[in-house]
Amino acid sequence: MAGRKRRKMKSLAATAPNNGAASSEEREESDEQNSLFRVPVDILEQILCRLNLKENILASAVCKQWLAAAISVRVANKPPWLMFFPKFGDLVEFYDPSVRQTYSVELPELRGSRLCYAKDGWLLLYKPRSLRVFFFNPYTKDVINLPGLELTYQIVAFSAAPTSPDCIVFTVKHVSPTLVAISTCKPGATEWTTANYQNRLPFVSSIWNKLVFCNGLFYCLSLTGWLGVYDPEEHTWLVRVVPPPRCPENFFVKNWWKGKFMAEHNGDIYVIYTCSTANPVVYKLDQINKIWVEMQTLGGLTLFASFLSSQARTDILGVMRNSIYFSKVRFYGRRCISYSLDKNRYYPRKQCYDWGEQDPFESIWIDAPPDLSAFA
Amino acid sequence: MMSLGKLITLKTNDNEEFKLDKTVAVKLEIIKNIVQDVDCTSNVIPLPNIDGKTMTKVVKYWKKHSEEGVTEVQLKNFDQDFLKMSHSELHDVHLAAKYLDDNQLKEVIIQEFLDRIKGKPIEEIREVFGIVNDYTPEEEEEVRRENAWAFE
Repeated sequence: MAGRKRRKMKSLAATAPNNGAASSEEREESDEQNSLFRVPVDILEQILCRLNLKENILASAVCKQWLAAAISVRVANKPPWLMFFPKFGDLVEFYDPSVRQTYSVELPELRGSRLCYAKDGWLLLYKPRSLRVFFFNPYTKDVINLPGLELTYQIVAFSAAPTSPDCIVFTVKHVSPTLVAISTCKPGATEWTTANYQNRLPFVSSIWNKLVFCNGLFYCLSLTGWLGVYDPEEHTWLVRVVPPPRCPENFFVKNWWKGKFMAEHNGDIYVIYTCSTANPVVYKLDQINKIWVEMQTLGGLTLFASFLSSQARTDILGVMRNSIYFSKVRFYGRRCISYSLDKNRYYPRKQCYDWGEQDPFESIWIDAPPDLSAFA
Repeated sequence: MMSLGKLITLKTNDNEEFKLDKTVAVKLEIIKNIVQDVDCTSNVIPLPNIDGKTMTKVVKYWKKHSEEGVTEVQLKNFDQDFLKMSHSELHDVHLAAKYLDDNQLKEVIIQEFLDRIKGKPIEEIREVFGIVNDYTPEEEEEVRRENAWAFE
């Protein structure tokens, strides 16, 4: 190995190690005489920890010492896990899309309840028989009860983990096209607060959750794509004058209203429109110009779409970025159905993505656990 | 208590002496502690971990940065000029700053190292730091493939 010339690598643009061009050969002689100085590990780590994820990864290609230092200071986000709720029995499965691994655990606490929403590692559940509404942390098995409330199939969400003082639970039910009933509650409260609100614009609440909490406000997308905004501080409800995201014409097929998803990330709101016969379209809300902007790329972002709640992440390692991951696992659980905006294609190809056929309550994206102790 | 305007002597491991105004020197935690510990009348503080060449640079930096009425722009220009040194000299100053517990100077050095690699192609980084690529082509390909997006 020692005598082998391995220094043909060109710059970042080089696609394969052996494609190095002659120009770099000429530099080799002077390279050998370069200073004997080696960046000490402590300085190297201090430098590398100031780089963003992309720069960190680039630096790791310099040499093995740099790789070790880069990995030791690398901060990457974990993708959420997909939780599968069983139709029968208590065995709940969790799928980690980054390593394509499934874990399972018996959760009899969830028997007879229905998934409503997930955020910050907590689930919101509803027991139709007893009208019980409660939070559940599937990794610690902690339970936090809320006062009972009849939740039919209306949309419901919460703003933060129930252990946080900022936690507000929100649900909206449409009474008539110009009237909605909004109920809110906080952990520890003895009852829900319900009030009716008039809409200036017609608002028919959507099927399943197109509902996110963003910068102190709950945003919900109506069945036809209008945006209703609830301010829990001011107790106000307003249907925004933002034209609905443009639904491509070929999207009006069977179950067109079902394959829509809404997610929030760092103050930005995204809507995904899917259709079994065409590629999905992603829109981002431009709050200043009050329009939905179609996204050609998500850059470093990854969207995780499920009917009850969708999530977004940046800085995920590997091949998951600039993609949408859907709450469906194919190939005997080996991988999620995903769509890459880089490649403009679904993985796997040639599947039928009719979301109307899927049971919306069977799966949900939830933050990954801090460790695997819940599955021991 | 020491009086203002008094001089303090710092002595490096190669016996070079630096006379510094106390008001400058005691800004540093370590000097302040030593000054409080040792007999102030002798006023010679040994610096066993720092050589004269490096200390010259450090003192130059301190003096400029404690100059009265010096403007931001002047300091910026000074720093830019000050940092024009080899990697190993930079490293020596960093070690000295670490020993003297001078966080500001440490930060300036790290930032300079950062500027020397940031945004540069991998081959250029190797060249600048005289790093021999010890990856086999297969290993390097693996590193690149794992997070191919970063290399696009």
